[in-house]
Amino acid sequence: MRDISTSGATGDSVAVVQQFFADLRATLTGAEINPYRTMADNVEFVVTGQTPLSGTWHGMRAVLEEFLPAASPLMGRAPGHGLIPLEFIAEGNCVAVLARGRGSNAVGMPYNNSYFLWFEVQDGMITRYIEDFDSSLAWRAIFRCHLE
Amino acid sequence: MIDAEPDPKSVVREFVARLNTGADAWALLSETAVVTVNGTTPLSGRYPGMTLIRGILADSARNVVASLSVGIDTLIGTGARVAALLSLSVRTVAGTPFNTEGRLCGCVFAVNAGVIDEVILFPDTSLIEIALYGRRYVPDA
Repeated sequence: MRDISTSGATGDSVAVVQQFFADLRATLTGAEINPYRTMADNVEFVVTGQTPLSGTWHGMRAVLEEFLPAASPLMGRAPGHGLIPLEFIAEGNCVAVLARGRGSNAVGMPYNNSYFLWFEVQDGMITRYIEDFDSSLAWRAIFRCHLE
Repeated sequence: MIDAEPDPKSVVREFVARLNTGADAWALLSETAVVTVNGTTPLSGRYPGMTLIRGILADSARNVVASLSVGIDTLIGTGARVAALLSLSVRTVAGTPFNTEGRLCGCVFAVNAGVIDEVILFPDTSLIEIALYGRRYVPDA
């Protein structure tokens, strides 16, 4: 089992993660900011599951050049979409967030998922992000598949 | 003298240890505990109380899971609620290994007076469908 780094105070780590959510909200309401500005250049970015968008990206450049161009065309855009944090559990440099998402796929079919999001923060930047969610729902809503 | 309540993380560690050894992990859940398995799989849902946890969730899982091993990667939390990164390894009743890569999944525990009141597990739901239930994702026509 890994030890928790105490180099970052818990409150500081939570503040960084709260800023991440605030930036996402602002972007979805039209603000021209980079919603990933709290992520470090060397971030490890993990999307769990077995979908075509599941995987691990090393570095913000890979996220911007590989993950986001693949993901963005699959998602709908509409007022009210977003990610709403419900609970923060934090210690040292680690922050876990339970969140609910409201979204849609590219043709407007609702896609409302539940998330466990894991953040690790160093020097005021997010260095590890794990997005854990119902990937089976993503298969059906985002990739328009069914189970056989 | 008043006995100090066990540290919530210690209770979670003991619960996981008992799951792995086959000891009575259920004894660490309160009678009114609520277990939620995130998602839309056959095992997903909200199971309030030991009757539903054991009678529906655990019994349904036994139909597809032959053995379970849980690893704790990280535990955090300074109060009654503990967040964990876990690795779940399973051997299915058909002999297929599940999560051989050791990928991590999130879990939240609420601990009160030395017992677990709530568990919210976020397993890899597409892997459950594929590996445990032998299903596949097929594009809609």
